[in-house]
Amino acid sequence: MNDMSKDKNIDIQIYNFAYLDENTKRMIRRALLKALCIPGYQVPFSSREMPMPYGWGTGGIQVTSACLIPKDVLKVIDQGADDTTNAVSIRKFFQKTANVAVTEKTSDASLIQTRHRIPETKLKEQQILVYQVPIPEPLRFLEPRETETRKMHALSEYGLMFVKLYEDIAKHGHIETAYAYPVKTNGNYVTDPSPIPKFDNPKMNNNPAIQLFGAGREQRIYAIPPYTNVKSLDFEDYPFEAMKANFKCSICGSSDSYLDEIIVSDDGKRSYICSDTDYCKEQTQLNSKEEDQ
Amino acid sequence: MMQDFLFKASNISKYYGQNVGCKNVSLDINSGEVLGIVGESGSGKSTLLNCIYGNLKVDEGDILLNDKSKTILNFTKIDEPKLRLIQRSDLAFVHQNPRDGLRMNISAGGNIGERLMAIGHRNYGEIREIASSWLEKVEIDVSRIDDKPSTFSGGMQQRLQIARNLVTKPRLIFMDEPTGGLDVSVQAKILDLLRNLVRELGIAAIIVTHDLAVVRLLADRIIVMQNGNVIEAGLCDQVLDDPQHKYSQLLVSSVLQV
Amino acid sequence: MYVAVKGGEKAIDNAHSWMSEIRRGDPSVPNVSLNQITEQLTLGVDRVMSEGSLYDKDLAALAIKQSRGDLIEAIFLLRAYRTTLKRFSYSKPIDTANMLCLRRISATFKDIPGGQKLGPTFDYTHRLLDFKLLAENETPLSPTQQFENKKVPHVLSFLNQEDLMQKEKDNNLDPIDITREPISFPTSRAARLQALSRGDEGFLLGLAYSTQRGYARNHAFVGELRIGIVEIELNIPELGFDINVAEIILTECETVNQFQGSKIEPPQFTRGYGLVFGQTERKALAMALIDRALRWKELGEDYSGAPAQDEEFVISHCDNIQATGFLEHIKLPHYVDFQSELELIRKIRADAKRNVKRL
Repeated sequence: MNDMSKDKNIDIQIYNFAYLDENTKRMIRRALLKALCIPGYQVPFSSREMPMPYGWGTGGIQVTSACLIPKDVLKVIDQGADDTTNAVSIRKFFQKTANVAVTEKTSDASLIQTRHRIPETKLKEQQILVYQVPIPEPLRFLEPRETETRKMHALSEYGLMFVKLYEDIAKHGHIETAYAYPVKTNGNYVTDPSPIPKFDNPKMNNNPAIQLFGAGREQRIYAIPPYTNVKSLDFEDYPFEAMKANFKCSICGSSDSYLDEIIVSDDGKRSYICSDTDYCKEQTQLNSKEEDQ
Repeated sequence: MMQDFLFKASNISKYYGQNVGCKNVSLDINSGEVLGIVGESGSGKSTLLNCIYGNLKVDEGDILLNDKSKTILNFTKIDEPKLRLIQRSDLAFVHQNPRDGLRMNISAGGNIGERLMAIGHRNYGEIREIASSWLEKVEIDVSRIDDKPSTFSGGMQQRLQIARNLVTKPRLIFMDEPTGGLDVSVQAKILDLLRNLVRELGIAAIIVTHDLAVVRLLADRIIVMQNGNVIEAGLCDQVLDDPQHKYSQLLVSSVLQV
Repeated sequence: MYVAVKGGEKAIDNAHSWMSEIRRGDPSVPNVSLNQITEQLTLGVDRVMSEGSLYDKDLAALAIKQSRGDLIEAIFLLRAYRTTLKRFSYSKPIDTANMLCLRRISATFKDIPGGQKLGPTFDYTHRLLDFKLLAENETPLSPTQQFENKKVPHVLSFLNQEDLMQKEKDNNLDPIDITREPISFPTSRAARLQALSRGDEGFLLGLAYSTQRGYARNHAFVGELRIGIVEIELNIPELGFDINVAEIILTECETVNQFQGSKIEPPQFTRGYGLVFGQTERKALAMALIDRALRWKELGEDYSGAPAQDEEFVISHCDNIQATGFLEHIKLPHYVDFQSELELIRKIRADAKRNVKRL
């Protein structure tokens, strides 16, 4: 017992920079390079067990781990916010294992790991956006078999995908998918943008930043290189429409950012605030500056 | 002459364990021609159809298609992606049970539209228009376009399956007992429809059936199968009016007695 | 107003320290020690080692203690630790024919060379709560079992001699290591067996049971079940010979199953195979039944659509760490997705109302 605690006392220092060992990082980097070469193609990679559960961002964490260098400035968001529990937990993890600088400011970050949102502030060249992906396969709920969906991608057999959109319009008059709205990357592979609201889809198109997607449990990595054409699937006569709540943020007053609805009183009164906390802060500061002048 | 055929299968054999599915079967078909494969159940005709369509792997033999660019493709040699591409563009398959050939939880319009969307149609209004016109062609009330096939009668389901298959104008259509599960009156209507569509569009067809009335109405040529072997082949009228093989004679006479 | 929506760092810290407190329980009760767990909760330790796919009793016991007895959580801890370990080398294949058996039974032959040996088993015990164990100070039993130090041949090797048993063919390929390479479907039997060996016991049990109830029935007999000690040998090129680096306990199960034969093969018996760390016989049995069910394609059998025959279904869902992670992730906030659903449903309802009015 005593011997053991001496031998195997696990101090975080004994882990490699950013947790993963260099061999694993190399394997992931190879997958990332392949993914960047074939935009939107899902590259299988040998996902490792991470100290967080599958489904909680292990894919994104592995990609971040493989990309991080000591001079990086890291930002982690979940639901657009830096202070949601899972974002806090992941940020702490990299502070502990990689000792990198962290920020909440989108424009200051060199690497942003995200779950479910793309920041409102425009991304720049040299920035990396890492998405956490639960189900990388956009065809999964139309066809459960991996052997089948891989063939469908290989042959661009996307008829079924459009049948889903067709049915939406026939039934509701418009396309019913509100988040994880499928896109076509570089005119080739149909890609799952991860469960971001479709409001964020246009931000993926022609973005100067590198967009990397990691799905840990499903063992897939895919990527959208900078300035790549990303088109949300639609029909000529029913074009894609980004959508958000038609209100202003009750903190910063912004009307062009994605809003969260909050219930503010027991009788169910609603209010709307920016889901992107950094953007909201920035706008509030801008407003107060204007007022000062 | 070699380039004239549309589709040719030679020396096809398929075994299930120690049992013979079909043995050493050859057939060929030209553009716009209708070939009937007849025989009682268990004679190997459905196995043969699934083999030559590429659904079942054959143990022996070659399956050749003369594709749109006049290249001869051998189904037993090409890889699966290529085969599926061919199945999607040049071929079609009508199942005996419409449930196997339709998406039951997708509307009639979506069922017809799928093949169109698969080959690149991206205008909702156009897809709907084409789907409507095909519903008319197969005599289904256009107001049913947003209803799911599960609310249709068996005959309607079968007509919908035919529309779904023909909408992209394939060059060869495979049919497995297309009127099998239907009432006699409904059968007649479907056969009539099939005959008109196949003629009108100039599509070649291979029809498997146990029903000689079906082949007499539709087929130009027939082959007769027993225990996995072809025992007689020829022009439809010739074989039905003057069968040479004992089994064919039995088959024809048993129908006449009814 | 802008308060309750987003959680924070403090909440996490507080929750974790509360959890540690609860884990320790009443401080007046003595702390459970790791050797108490390794010595007295052996089967739990074995399960954690096998599904954690790391053979280390102390670490498994630590994981059980830390996880408050939640074995899946303990397996998770062990897996997350394992993944950081360096690979020095791959051992030589173990030879279970050289196993020193603690238990060895066959349901196919009454008399087998080497004899049947029940060993430490719950079989044939009456499942009556033993209130004697309530006494805190159990007196230790004096050892009555004589451990025979001799190797016994596999029972199925006798059927092999008569050619009644299908011979397993060595494809001479290095098996993939599913912890280093992603599985792609269709996959090899080697990959399947690895996945099953560390798959969730409950999931495998249910699937194996389903084959017995007619969903891909394959008439399994337990040809042999053996539990015992096996040596792990490592070839060190610099030394030029093999050295024994460890001894581990394994459970191995070989089932004998009917096989109809095919056009080229006469009827024969076939094998389902299970091999698991520790004394884990329920799992090894289940694994063998599922292994056999998954072999339908290779043996030219019919696919009856049963879940246990579906390689992609079985292998993609048998890992409890993947499963529990994804299941539990729905506890994470989904505000954004839910918000867009809200917007959409409001829009659809508004449209529908407008249409009704128009009518």
